[in-house]
Amino acid sequence: MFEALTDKFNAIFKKLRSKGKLSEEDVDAILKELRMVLLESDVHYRVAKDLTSRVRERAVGKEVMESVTPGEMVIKILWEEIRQILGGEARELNLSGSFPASVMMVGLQGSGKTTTCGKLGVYLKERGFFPLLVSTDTRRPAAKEQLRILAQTAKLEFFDDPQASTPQEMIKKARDYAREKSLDVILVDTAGRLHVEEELLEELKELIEEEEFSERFLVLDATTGQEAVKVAQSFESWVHPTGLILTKVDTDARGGAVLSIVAQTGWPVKLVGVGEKLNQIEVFHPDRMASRIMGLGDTLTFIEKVDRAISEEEKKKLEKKIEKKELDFNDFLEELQRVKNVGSFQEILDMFPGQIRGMMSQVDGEKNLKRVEAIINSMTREERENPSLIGASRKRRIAQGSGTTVQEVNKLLKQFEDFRKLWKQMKKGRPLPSSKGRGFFGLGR
Amino acid sequence: MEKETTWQRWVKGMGKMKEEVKEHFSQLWSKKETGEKDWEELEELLIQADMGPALSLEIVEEFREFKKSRGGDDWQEWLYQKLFSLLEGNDPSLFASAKEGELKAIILSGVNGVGKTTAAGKLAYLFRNKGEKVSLIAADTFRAAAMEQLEVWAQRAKCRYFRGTEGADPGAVVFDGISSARHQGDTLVIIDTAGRSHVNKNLLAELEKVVRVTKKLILPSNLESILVIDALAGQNAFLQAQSLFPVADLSGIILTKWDSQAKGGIVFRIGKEFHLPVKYLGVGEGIEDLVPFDAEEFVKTIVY
Repeated sequence: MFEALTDKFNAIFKKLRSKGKLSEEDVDAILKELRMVLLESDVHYRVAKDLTSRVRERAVGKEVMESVTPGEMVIKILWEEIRQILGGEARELNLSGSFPASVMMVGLQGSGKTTTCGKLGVYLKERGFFPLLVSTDTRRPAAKEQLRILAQTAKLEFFDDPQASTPQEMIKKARDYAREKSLDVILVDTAGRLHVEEELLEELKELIEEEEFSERFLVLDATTGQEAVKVAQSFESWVHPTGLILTKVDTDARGGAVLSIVAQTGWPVKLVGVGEKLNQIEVFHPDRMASRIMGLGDTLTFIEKVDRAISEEEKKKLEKKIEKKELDFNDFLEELQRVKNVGSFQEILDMFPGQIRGMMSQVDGEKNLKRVEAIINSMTREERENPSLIGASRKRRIAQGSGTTVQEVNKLLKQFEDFRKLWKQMKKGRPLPSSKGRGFFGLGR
Repeated sequence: MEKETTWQRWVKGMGKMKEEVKEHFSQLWSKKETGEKDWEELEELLIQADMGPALSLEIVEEFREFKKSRGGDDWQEWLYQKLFSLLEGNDPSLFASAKEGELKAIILSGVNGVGKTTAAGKLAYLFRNKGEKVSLIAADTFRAAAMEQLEVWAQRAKCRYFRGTEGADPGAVVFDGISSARHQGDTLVIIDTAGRSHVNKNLLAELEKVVRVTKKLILPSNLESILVIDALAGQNAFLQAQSLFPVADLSGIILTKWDSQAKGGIVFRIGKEFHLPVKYLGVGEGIEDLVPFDAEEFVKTIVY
């Protein structure tokens, strides 16, 4: 989502970086551009104004130290300001209160409430909860059907009672059902409504007055524009949301809307939806998001993701291997397969800092990933362990065996060499280019 | 009668913003001394109206120039010309040069949740009332219950409905759907595609295939490829259009959720950056809530 913004910031900061000292005019010129960047990212104009003026205050003031360049200082200040707005640290879901706990999704049409319900179900199940999905959306055609199918796909409990005439009744019955089946969290999907439809908002208000919800999430589309602030204001007065879930973060929308809303309301962003698959939901980390906004690379999220896919044991095995010898194609293959478990290739790629991204993107997409796998699978064990064995005739054989071309085999060998070098660097704990002090795969830290 | 109510809703949808914009322009015009702050305020107002920062700045600067040079004495005329020029040639009609007696097709594409399926239902209803024999084709074989949703719309619009199996190749579904429509003597097919993030290469390739298949079966003059955009979307709407352009060969836009009191500035940005005509506005959840976009009336409503 924030990549495009990141690129812009990078361009601006390049100017800062290339200069040794900053005059006041420089700061103003930069801030003017900065304001434009924020606006183009759909950050509300008022928020953008506040942000730039705060950065100016701090940048021109005494906080500029001797040991860092003014450019670095501005970067740091802006990062801190954005992070501070987004909230200090990741926040847990609140599932206290009545039993079973109820969580409600509200939002505009098409913001992704139903999909989020399904994802949240998966998310909670993975963490040992027993969720129940229920829909109170009788307005959008097939909305209930959609949730039912999602529940089925994810093997989650779903409740529906066609007899229930009101959302209240539906929730009460769902609660009874949940108690009976010992389910501990009810996820309630509601009909989408615009922030100007007072009648429909009144309906929600009545619902929260009658039923207790531990969390009332406003589900927000990351592509929302300047109107986001009004949307938040309206829902604030009717529903008092307890937090935000940001969806469609896998688009290249810069997501300034979330910055605006949080600046305005102080609601925590609890989760972000990052794809169409049901497991593509993540905890929101203000730190990382701020880093990502500013082009520092999202190495932390990557580590968490990979961690989930690799069992501890496997990791240890890998670490030992790296200690004792050079990385070979067997490891490379393992790594590729792991990456496939983690998510789409592009998704993984997006988390790396720019330089590495450029190198790795030559592998270009999941389709090629399969070809790469095929090539490695066509190598003999010796060849995998010692790629230097692979001469012209072996290359021809491998190409034939994998249904690829010698050029492709060559390309892979070249890429592997690069990868190996990178790996060595990490092994030594040397920082990767542009991601100071942070290795990936949990190594080299 | 019916047309009036939708028109009213349409105007109402623009909210107070219109009045504020007018007031600001008028004040700035008559003010003798204007400071940097005044212009900045106007710029912010235009940004709030969803004109986008770049276009807002452009308008403010040109207006400043105009005021300085006193190039005329009517700011309203100036603003009208400026805004209208951004929408020059906006023809809301579909199939202006369609060949009679040949099957027509509308492809709807866009990111997730903008309202493609709803737009498909409304279009089906609209064209059926115009005497077309309409077939709705569900090419969204991915999203859970997307096909069921379209089926409900088909029932409401009282038109034919064609779907493939879940997870089927959308290109194949479209091929079969069009063949079936032709066989049944339909005159128009409306193809609802899966929502896709415009940065997802695989899904873009899938859409390209749907378009390619359709083009093989439908005359170019009888094909409309429409991008559906949420009126509440921010700058990202432009990136959407940009990446879908080469893939879907777009011929127009439908702006949905207009009843959200969207400020409408987005229309001008679309006009400026893509020269794509805005065809319809979605103004509600009812089947009739789709109104043709009249650029001239729209600009008049804003300026006067």
